[in-house]
Amino acid sequence: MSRSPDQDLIEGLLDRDEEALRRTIGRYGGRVYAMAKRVLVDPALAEEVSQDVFLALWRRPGAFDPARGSLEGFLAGVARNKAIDLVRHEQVRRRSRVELIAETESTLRVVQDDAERTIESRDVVASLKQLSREQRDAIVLAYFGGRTYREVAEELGIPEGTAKTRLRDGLAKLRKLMADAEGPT
Amino acid sequence: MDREHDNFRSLIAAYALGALPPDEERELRAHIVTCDECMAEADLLLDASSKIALAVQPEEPPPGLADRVLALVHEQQPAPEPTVPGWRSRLVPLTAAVALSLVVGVLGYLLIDTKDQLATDRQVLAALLRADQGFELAGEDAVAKLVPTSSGSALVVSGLSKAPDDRDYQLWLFRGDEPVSGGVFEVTDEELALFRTDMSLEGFTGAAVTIEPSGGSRAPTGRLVITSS
Repeated sequence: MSRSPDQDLIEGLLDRDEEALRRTIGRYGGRVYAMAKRVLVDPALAEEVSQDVFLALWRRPGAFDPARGSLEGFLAGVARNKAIDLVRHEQVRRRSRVELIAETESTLRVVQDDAERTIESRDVVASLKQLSREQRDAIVLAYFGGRTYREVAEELGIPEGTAKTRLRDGLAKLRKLMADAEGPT
Repeated sequence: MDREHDNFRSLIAAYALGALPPDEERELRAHIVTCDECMAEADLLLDASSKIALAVQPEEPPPGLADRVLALVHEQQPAPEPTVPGWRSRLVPLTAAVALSLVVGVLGYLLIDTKDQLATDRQVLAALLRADQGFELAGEDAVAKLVPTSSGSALVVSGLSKAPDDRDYQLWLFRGDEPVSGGVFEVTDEELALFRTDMSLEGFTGAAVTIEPSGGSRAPTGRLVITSS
């Protein structure tokens, strides 16, 4: 296992070093905020979620498990879950199907050679691109839209069984593509 | 393979994407805890779905984000809880047994606040996956797995409801017919509970959970809730 580039941040957080928290926010604040904004219409709420994400990290840095992924991915995932929580339980406005799909498609178009992205995040984008459009739309509605598979079916006008299949085949393919991109470890 | 299993299996991707209605999610989780095949698939797919967030293009965060987070940190005294003991050693490669005990340690920590449910599930699954030893327990509505850890054992239960105020759940380990108390535990979340004990499973042939008067009993007296076969 190679030493993670974030190990200094993690050790600082475990030592309750506020400077480490500040540096973590400097490094991943934009990642977390963008993720929350992808789900939430209101930018003020997206900021609130971002604050929450870093506050949670400060309180429990042990929740991040370096054996299972990058700090960047962990924080983005927590942001996604917190934002989805808001649209599900607090009746906060969520993005429409059209908006969600359009934003994803445009992200996939723009991304080439973006030096700001990590290799891992470029792999995710490249893998998403290789899904069929139908699979991708279903996954985007579920993941960024917080829709259940039943809602995915309804919004796409397809039977529930088909929605389940698209999510399943899409995610399985995504997993395989990302594993291949990562290469043998 | 039976149809029920196939049906559950077809829902794992939706589960990994957080796209199951709550009742279906509960049922699926109860199944996953007892089904190695579904558990393995859920683990893989949860891992994949957790990376999708990285597809979003980062953008400039609102100015002053760090200052506001730090202000919140200062507002919320007293100082945060200490971190999980032993965590630091997790940053270096570990033997499977130690890794398991740490995962379970982190998990116990996380269960205090299960808001990040999917992250929690991932760790539950990771812990269970690595455990091919231990006991599977089942009862009318609940299922559990009791797994050895480097410092004793850990019980992960799905489906137990909160005990009445004057009652506690108590874990028993059996050496033949002889029960030995593994300690009492509380259930606060019907979906998933974790209980750690320093009791080693070494030499025991079975396990069960009963419901006992608060504080527990010397020998099982109450209703049997789950038991190993």
